[in-house]
Amino acid sequence: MEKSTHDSVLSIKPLIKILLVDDREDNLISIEAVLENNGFNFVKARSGRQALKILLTEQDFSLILMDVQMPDMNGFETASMIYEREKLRHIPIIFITAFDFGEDTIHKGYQAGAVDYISKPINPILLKAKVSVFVELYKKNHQLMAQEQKLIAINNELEERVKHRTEELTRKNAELETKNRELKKINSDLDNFVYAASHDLKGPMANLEGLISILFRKVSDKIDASDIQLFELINHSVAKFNRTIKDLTEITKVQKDLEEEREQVFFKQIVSDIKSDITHMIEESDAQIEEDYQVQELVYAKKNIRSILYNLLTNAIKYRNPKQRVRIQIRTYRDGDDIVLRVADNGLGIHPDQIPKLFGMFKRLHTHVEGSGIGLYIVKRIIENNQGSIKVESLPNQGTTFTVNFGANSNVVDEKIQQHFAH
Amino acid sequence: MKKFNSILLIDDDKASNYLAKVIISDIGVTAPLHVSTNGKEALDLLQDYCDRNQADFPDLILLDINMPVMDGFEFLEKSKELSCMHTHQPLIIILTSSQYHSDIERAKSFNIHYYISKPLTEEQLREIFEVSLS
Repeated sequence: MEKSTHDSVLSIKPLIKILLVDDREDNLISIEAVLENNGFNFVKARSGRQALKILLTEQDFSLILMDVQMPDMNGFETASMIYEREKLRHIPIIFITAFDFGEDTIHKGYQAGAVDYISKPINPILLKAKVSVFVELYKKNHQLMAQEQKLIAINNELEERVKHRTEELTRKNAELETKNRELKKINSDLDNFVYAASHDLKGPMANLEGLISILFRKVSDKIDASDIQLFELINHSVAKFNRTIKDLTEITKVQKDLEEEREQVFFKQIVSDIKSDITHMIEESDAQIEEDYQVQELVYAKKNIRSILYNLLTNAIKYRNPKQRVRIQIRTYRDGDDIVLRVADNGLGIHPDQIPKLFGMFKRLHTHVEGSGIGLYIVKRIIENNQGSIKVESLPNQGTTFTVNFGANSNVVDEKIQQHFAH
Repeated sequence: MKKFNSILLIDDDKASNYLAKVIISDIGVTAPLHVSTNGKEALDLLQDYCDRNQADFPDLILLDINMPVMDGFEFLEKSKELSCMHTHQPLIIILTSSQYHSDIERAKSFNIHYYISKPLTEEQLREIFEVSLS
């Protein structure tokens, strides 16, 4: 595993170039002979001057092996001239010296930049070992540099990609914002249109209703039962039409109601108000309503929370199971930070196939009950517009449970904290 | 039932006017009834009464809001300039299918106390007469 990484990093094996500097040809040859099986590439110089000349054009040496004792310009002098050049400072020099050098010489050598010494006569094993240390060092260095280059390249590429993505995201975001604005406008136009249209339909329909009743009064003593039935059908259609218009107006009102002020409301109070509004319905059905408020209050538009509870409660009564007493359980509780309302009944229930249609517009699942089926659509729309969610669980003939999650932003505490920070 | 001098119905909708006439007559009001199909026509008619026949100036006006040429609100605004409107102070009922909140609020600003959403019914009209004429 590790090997393969190395291989991939070192895709180009470095060429090991060694500069041999000695005024004596035989010395050069013998050094070359000792090291030749290692696949090194040798460049030979017969003097310090020649070595400097070579180094003018070639700087990629891994190592310099240099005799100290040379006529004209000795090894130390050559070394200090080599190291004057910035480009060459990384090349290590091993000095080869014939005499037993003393402390003084070593000092001079190190000052000139030497990294090691080897004495004559050359011990081949020692030479090989010393050279191999520097060659290995060079290889490692080379490897590190290659890795660094690669990392820099990867980094640049990543930065480029991130930049590209960010630009793309910014552009997409702007597009989305534009689309969102357009959609909001279309939505509002549509609502206004529906409101205006339903409103314009109301007038003629009201006239029709009145005209029919006058016509009926005028002819009622002259017509037979089948004609009367015809009138009833007409009235029924008119009533249905009026209901539809009313519902359409309701839908558009939900949108307008969204701008309603949110306030602190108490579940118990809202349910109590609704119960008194639908007293006849509760008495007639002998409904038993159980209430358990573990969460007492929330922040919501009063009109909207009323609409939600009203629809869920009246639905539970409307779609009751005639074979048993209506039992409705209203419960509020906390799920983490979220406020949850649960309304469960023991009514007719909904067939699983029908559940997906439940929250649609104008879907009435039980035909025996009068109603347009707009209620749950409105309920869902209110809840979702307030960042909440509603789900339903139901079994035919066993009952239905609606679970409304108002989300965390309906918490009264939150609101108080916000007010606290606002001051 | 109090006797009206005359009644003015201002609405461009024929069916609506027919219904109003039937209902008014059904509850036993027999006063002469005039129809104007827009505010301008009604203003001209009222001006005429002012100028020539103040005795028969309408004391009940049923007014629609959405009409061509001159709508109900403009009529209410302009009718303020008619001197005999002040002397006679007719009972004005707005009869419209508009349920726009803004329309209702605007009607209130004209001190109109009766705002009926169509269709007009016998019961509504009877109730208004009982309250306002007793």
